[in-house]
Amino acid sequence: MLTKTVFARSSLCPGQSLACSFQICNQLLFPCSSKIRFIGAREKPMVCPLKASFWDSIRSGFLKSNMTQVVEPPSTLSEEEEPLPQEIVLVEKTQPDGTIEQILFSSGGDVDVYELQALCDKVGWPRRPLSKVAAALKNSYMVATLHSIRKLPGTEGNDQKELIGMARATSDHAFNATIWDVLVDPCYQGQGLGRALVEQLIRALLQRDIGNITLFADSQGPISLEWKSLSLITSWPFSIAVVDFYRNLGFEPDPEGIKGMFWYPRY
Amino acid sequence: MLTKTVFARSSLCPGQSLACSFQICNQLLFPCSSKIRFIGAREKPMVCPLKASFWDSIRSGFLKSNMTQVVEPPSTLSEEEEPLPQEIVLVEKTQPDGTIEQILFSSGGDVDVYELQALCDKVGWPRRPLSKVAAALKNSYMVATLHSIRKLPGTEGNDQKELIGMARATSDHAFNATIWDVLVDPCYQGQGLGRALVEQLIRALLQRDIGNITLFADSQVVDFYRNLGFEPDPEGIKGMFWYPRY
Repeated sequence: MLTKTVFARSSLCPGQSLACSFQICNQLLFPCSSKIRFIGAREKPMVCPLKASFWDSIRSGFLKSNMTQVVEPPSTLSEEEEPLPQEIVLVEKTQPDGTIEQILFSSGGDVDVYELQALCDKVGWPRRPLSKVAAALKNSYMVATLHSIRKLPGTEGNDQKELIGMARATSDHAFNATIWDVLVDPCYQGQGLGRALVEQLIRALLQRDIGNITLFADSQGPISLEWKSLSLITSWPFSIAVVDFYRNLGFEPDPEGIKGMFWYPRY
Repeated sequence: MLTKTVFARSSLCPGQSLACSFQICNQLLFPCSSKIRFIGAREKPMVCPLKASFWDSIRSGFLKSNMTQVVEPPSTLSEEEEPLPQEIVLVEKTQPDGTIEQILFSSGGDVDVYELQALCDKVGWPRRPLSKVAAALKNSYMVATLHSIRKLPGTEGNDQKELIGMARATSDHAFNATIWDVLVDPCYQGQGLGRALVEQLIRALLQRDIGNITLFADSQVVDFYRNLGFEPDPEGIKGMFWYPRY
């Protein structure tokens, strides 16, 4: 099975980043019969006015091998321009039988509540009223998803699309955002997809100039309660504390003694 | 200077609560020449489908003296009904010269960004771009304010209204809310107004069935929020910030 892993690099316009990565991949890996299909921004290329430390973090996050140089973006988003929702192919695998599976990140937020409920069941979260789930999605500033897309050989246009991950953020659209409900299908955990999901969500928030990105991380591991924001880390074989998962993504607990607080939390 | 302090009780319909408090106040305090003017909900009385532990917390928060019994509300909000923004008179004082000052809580969120900037200056917060402040207010789920309203004697309709406090909350309208930017004019601090502001904001969020109310507290105000019912790091849950700028 040939695998080409291409994590979109935030430092570049999408078109450039994947072309660049594709070339480097070809230098490093076996020639691959499948191309990376990049589903870029719908109309305009995305540009990323981000600071140097962010590049460092994205670099360390994305580039597991010494793949490429990071190129700074040539221009910045004007104040009125809203970045468009983006779809990014994170992984593409070709099976021996010719089936192609892509893992697709999207910040467009198109989530079927029934699909989401099935995913929450899979990770073991308690059920929540679907109307409230729909309202929560609708009123989130951003909803990011991971989908697995399978293209069977010879079935033109008949893709199998499955929701395998989600994260969402509330925000005042100006200063603060809080990330809630990060989850990845247990079958797909341990591959860096949760990490990529959160990284892309952060990137999208930063592009919209949201400077303060926060979340509440469960320090005890995968215990789920209806009202908590949790990230499910598989217990096999790479189990780490949720707080460390986010620490590795650039989050810091209690900076300068600031405490996250809950009103009469229900245990 | 005669002062009547009436904190609206969440357990009652607004009209009832203040009438009730007014009577008790009269029993306990000197007769007061000024009435409490209650500016209730605009169209419908507000009802509060809240749980018993909440009543306890509100009781302990609001009733600094053993004033009254809490009365449970007779009905609950139907699922489609959105509670209306509410204005509540928290304090009313009559000066010897006849000037009446009211402290008014409102969840209606009508904030002038220039007034807010002046208030932020007063508390010593760094300036932020006004366009972003306006966007933040517009896109907050709820914006609560405290205003001081002075009515000078003989000036019918010429009230002086001044923004003296604000708190706002973002939310997904279903499960979670996070409170940001709580501030009270230093001239009005130390009177329990910040406490009342946050309590009313919590009440308004609970009425909208937002079950998870969170915030991030600077170390020096953690106890302030603890006294309001907030708990830091429950079950070890950590609040985290992405590359915080110090």
